Amino acid sequence: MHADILLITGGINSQNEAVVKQIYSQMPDPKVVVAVGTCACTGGIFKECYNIKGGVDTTIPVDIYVPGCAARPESIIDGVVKAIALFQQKHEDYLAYKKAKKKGQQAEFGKTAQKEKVV
Amino acid sequence: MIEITYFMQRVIAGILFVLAAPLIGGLLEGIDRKISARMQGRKGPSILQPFYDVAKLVKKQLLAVNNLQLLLVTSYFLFMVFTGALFFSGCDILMCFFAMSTASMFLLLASTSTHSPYSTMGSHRELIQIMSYEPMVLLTAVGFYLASDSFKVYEIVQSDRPTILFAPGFFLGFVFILTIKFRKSPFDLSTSHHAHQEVVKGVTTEMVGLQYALTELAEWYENVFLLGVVGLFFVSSNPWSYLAAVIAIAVVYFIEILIDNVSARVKWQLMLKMAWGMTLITGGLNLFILDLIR
Amino acid sequence: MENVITLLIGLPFVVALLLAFVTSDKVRGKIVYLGGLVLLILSVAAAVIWFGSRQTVTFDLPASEVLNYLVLGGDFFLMFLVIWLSVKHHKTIISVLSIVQTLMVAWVELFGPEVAESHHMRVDWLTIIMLLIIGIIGVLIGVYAVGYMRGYHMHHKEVGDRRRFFFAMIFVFYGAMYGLVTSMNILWLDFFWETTSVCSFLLIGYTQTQEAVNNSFRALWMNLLGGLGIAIAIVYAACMQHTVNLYDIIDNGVLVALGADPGNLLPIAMLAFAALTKSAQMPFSSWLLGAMVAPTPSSALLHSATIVKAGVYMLIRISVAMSGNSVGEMVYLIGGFTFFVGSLLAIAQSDGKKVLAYSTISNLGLITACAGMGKQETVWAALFLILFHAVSKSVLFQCVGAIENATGSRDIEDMQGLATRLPKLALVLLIGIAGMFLAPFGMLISKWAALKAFVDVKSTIMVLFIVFGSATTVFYWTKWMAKILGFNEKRENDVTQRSEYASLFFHAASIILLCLFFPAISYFMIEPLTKELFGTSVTVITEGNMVVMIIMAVAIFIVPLLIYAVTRQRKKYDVIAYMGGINVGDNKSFIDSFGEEMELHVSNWYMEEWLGEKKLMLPSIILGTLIIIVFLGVVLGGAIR
Repeated sequence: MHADILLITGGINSQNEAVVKQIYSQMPDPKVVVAVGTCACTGGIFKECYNIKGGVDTTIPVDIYVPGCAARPESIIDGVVKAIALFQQKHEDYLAYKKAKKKGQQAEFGKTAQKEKVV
Repeated sequence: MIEITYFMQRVIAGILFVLAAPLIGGLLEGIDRKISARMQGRKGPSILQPFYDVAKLVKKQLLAVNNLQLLLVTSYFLFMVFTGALFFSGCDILMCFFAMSTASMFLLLASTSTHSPYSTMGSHRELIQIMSYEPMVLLTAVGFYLASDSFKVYEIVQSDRPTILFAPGFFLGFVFILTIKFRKSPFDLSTSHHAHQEVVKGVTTEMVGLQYALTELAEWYENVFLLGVVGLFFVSSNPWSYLAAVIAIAVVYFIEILIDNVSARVKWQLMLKMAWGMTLITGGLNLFILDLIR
Repeated sequence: MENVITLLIGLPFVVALLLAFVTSDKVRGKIVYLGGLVLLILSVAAAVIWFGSRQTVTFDLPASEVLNYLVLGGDFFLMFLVIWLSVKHHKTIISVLSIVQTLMVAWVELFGPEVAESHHMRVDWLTIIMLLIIGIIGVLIGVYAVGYMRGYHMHHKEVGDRRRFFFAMIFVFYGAMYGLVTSMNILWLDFFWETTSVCSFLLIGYTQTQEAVNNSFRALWMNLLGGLGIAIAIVYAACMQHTVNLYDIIDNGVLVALGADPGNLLPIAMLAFAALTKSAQMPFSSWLLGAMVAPTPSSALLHSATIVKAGVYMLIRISVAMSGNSVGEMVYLIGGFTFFVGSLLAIAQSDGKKVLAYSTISNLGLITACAGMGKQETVWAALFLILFHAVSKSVLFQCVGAIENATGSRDIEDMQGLATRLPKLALVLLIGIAGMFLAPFGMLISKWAALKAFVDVKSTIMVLFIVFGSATTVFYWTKWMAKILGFNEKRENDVTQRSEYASLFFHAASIILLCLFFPAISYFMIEPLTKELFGTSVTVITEGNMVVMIIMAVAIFIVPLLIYAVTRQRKKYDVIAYMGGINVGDNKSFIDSFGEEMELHVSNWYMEEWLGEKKLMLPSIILGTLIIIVFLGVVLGGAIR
């Protein structure tokens, strides 16, 4: 399954948790995750519901947060543009990582999220 | 001596194709995207975008569903290159078409080998597409044979008059099925360039990174080969005919883009009926008339 | 040469007689192996002797006069057998066909006009190739049958064990086929022809269920109808041309184009008609489909090496006389039509054996069309099709039989992921399928030659049949191939016996060898053959194309091997396939809307309501019958005038 950037527009509940995890695992590196809207960022007004786990970052690492209920079109665009820039950078990191691995050096990739917020 | 230089010419043409086709194919796709964007009132990406995309795909992580798929995709790619090289080095055009359907078969096997419902569905649609266009493709070869008494491309280009004069029906039919081959709407059933009319991504659903880059490249090779066939309709021993061929290719390519942007995907039944109907009407009628007057 | 041929025809009948009395399974197996081995050696020996001289020989078997009466007696024996069986099964009407033709032949033999003296047997290129096909492929099927029938009776307790009869019949079959391809005297040919008809009838009815009996009688009446055609040809030839020599009849047919009496075409037309029934062309296709009820070896035997090949053998034999006249038109129209319809019908089938049956019919259609065309290039292509078809079809039938024994099903839908479940069988199956439609020399090159020839004679409709037919052919074979490759992780228990594998791998290897040595076979065997038939020498395929095709062939056979290498081991892969994020850890099941695990089955497309038997069979039978009636009418009109 080919994808670069994953946009998620809702909160995580016990039904979709496994699904989100699986789809994230099927994306090849490098990849960027964008959480769009307050629900996706934190769980929003549903946060206290019995079946809600919270924001997307409870399940998979999120790189860009686009808040707002609903998120404004401009900030979504802004988030996507930031995601693309981040993707570029991750891409280079990934290449460097592959190079290092080839030489047999210790290297790590994709363990930490960027956690950038769009206002 | 002349024969040897001639042979060298053919070999060089074949090698040139292998080297230049990805460049031309990529540029054509870039132009396609730009024109499509303008038709839809968007600015559109840079013309070089397809190259950036493929470069990115090559560098991404290869997450294979199984290791058979890469093998089959590579076979698809190699056969496609082989097809085009055969054509541009002036070999038998019917053999080129046979090689082309063998190549398509490998793509299809690659996508079914994953046992993924989406790519399996895509590959069955691809199979229907092959069945729809195959008769017309073979008839096109017959059209060339009728016009210049030979299946060999290097003899066809030396004929006194261009094929189109004898075979306008074959040309129309071929342009019609070209819509299927280019994966253009309304016949982009197996996989589409447009996200809005796609069930996931058809045959290419399970293709990642390098695999996907190879399918893209193979598609570019294929497009250049097919447009070469379009050009062949106009080529004769007159050097100016090559200009006519280039113009014809440009016009046909623009028409395909236009059709792509003004129509929505149809069901496979309609596609099969239309493609076979067109084949009978254009190719069959042209063949019949030529048989009568020959 | 004479002695070898005498042995080849005589020995199988003796072995058959022996087998009819042997009750022990072990002894029977040994006799079959030994008899098969001797036949194989004799066939190859005949070919070796042939290559020493390369001279067409005509000769008589020892005691020809006695044999003449023996043949006549045999004719009557077959007639009484048919009468007895058809009365027993309340299908008396069928015996009329047999009685009429036997009496016609007997009349010619006993009271008929004086005919020119000539030899009875003849050996030439075509004969040698047919001898090799029967001697190698046919005999190997017999070897395979020993192991298979053992397993068959273990699985099917309800079927009475009539193996004595079964193997006896198989050897009678061999003998009849050897006789058929070497006979010069058409009375003898008719006898052997009838023998194969009755044999196939008896083999199809092996299980004695109501379905088997019905199908076997269908095969019987259709083949007897063809036999009637031969009988008419004999009577006409004896009365009007004063000859019972097949080659004189053919020569007379050739003379028509030079202004001889058009009536000479009538026996040619009748022989062609007989060949069409035998090779299961369109109005007569259903008997071959019905033959599927028989145990697998007999369907393999019927389909690949023997009975249907008798039909196309006849067509190629008379192809010289069919070139450019209405008989040829009839034959190639029927052939082209059958090629197209057969492949359409194959799309809608999911039973593996049925797909094979329809593909046989369709493929024979292409051979028939090539032969009916009567051009040197097309006959060349037809011969290659026969070779490839014989080997590939035989391996495919045996393979499907083995798969059925191992998995309990021969449905294509149940072959999902066979490449990982039964890797060895899947490899053989893939090579067989590739040999059927991918191998550049089989299907591909004959399509190339046929297209060229039909364009040259300005036959619009035939060109259309070929292009549409080849599109549909690709559809059903690719679909099957794709099914085998689909991944399914569980390795299954392979119960295929070693003798079966020996036959399977031998066939697979021969397909590959056929491909690799294609230019040599073409140069040393097929081209001299067409030269012998047509008198001139033509290189059908240019060197450039040859190189291209060798490259393709290598690629095509390397790929299945690589597939085998890759899929043989189970391996854990990086990632699971995409199913909307709901698959359960593997590619085989997903979580449904009740939150429960559900197995995923991806099915092929069959388009039943478009291309099913119900929809297409009747119209095609009607159309096929019309074509035959119209053209036979034309020939008859010419003869009367």
